[in-house]
Amino acid sequence: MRIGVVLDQLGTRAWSEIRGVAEQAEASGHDSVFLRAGAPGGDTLTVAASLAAVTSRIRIGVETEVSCHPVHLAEKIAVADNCLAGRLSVVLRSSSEVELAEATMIITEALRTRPFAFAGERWTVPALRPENSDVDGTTVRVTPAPVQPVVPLLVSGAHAVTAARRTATGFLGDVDDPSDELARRWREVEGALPVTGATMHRVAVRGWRGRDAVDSLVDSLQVDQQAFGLEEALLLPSTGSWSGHELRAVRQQLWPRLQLTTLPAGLVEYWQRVH
Amino acid sequence: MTNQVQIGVGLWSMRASVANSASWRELYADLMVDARLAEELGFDTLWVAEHHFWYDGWCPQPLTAAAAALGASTRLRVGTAMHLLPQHDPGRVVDELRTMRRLHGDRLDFGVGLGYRDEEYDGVGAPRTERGRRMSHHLDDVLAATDRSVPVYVGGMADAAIRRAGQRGLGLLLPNTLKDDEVVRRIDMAASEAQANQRVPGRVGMLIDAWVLDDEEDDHAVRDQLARHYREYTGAWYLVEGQPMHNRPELLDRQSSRTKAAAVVGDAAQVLDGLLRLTSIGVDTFVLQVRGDRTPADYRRTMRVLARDVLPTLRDAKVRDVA
Repeated sequence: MRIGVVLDQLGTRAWSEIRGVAEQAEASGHDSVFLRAGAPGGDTLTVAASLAAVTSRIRIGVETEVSCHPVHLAEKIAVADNCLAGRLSVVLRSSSEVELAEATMIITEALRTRPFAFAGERWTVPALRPENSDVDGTTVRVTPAPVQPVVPLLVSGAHAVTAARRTATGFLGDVDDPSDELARRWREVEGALPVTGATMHRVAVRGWRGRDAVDSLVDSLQVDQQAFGLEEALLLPSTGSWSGHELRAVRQQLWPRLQLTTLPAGLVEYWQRVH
Repeated sequence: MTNQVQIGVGLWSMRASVANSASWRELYADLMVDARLAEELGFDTLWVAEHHFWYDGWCPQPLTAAAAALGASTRLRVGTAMHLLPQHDPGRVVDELRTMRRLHGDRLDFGVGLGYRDEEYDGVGAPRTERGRRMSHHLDDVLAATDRSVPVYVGGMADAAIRRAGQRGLGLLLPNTLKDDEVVRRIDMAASEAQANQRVPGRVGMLIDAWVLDDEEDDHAVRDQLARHYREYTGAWYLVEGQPMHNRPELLDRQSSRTKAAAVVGDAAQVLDGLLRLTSIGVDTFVLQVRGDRTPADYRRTMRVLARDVLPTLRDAKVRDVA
């Protein structure tokens, strides 16, 4: 299982804090940093691109609102993925069910580096408006291509399951979603998409309540894994911020225990003595 | 705090063109390396560009690229020349500008232009024919939402663009092919519009091809290379009677002649003289176009020579007072 760390409320955090957490998370060996806006002035794709030059390995995940045309959003994703040399993951969110589903379809097509057209209830691409009479062709091709052949793309929010069913895209389980509820939603999505549903990436945000709660977190993550096949857990600190000490603890105390079903007896105790 | 004369380098358009083959990943990695180099060398600003749906991957989202350059640097300003604002959702743009200001301070110069390709407007469902009205509306949204905290430059040379900038007290970003008297007329028009609207006139920026020759290079060959750089896409994008201008080579030749004449090419002293001439008519912000279709080794050499032999004198140059 991969482990990422969540930085939420980006609109309230200073660059020094964001950069520091990303650098320390990378130095600690974490798989990803996941950025959530939560307030104006916290555009996650802008922050992700800003982190490109100060990180080199760690994946940067962003949750972004569909607050502009999906073709432009696909371009922002492609540019950010190039800045990050192929380390970007994206979660789309919208208060509109139609917009979330259509944006997901458009962005998925746009990032496939091939010409495409889309006709939906909310958007038509290209629009082929009579005023734009010099348009030559009936498709659009977004360039540059992202570095990754397939940029990991999920949906989140109140309309996530509906959009997941419509678009064969995975959804993000959130911090307060209980395991049995997520398992039910995954069954619902899989029921609608019996073949493709099995290939969806399964990610959920989970709470980090400090080093003293590692045992219970290991247990609950294993329950998630068994219940709905959790592949990536994004940890949200209960204190609201990460210290270097805690980032190292996640890497050294939690992550190893999730890589195997059971660890050889005595190994955990050995780590506790040495680190 | 900005210098009286701002000297920047451009344009990082991130093009993997036929003339300059590179992977997009490398180009974006170079952007961050070049931002650090520009900062080390003492340039004020590095400028990025925008276009969409072009074979070479011309950067379609310059604010995202600008964020990467800002993250790679600590003092350097990063500018857009231009961001095609009428094609964008102004609410999203405002959030990006606020984010950059919060993260990186007052280091972004927001240059905006109309864009001229129907494909770019149609791809996002906007009518190109309303681009002027959309620009004014979006600009006012951005200025209000950012409390005028982000320096804004208006690109273009049409009277409508100059008035739009002047009325709002915004900077100008003039193209490289204007003659001196044409530049002066626009600067004075913007100042007059600003004063009529109780605004202080903005800065006067100009994009200018700058090339310091080394011992092996020939002046004419360099100007020909610059003309080819522009000719590729203008021939494809500018339409005459519905046909790309590549089908009207005589028109392209005329444009190429202006490009070649306007470029500031020569040894360092000649380049300095050419730029000082522009400060004497009122230009105070330079976007020195060092990229073209050149390799990183070539344009970085020019950046170093400009930093050593041109910047110190140009920075302290006297600028014509238009007030």
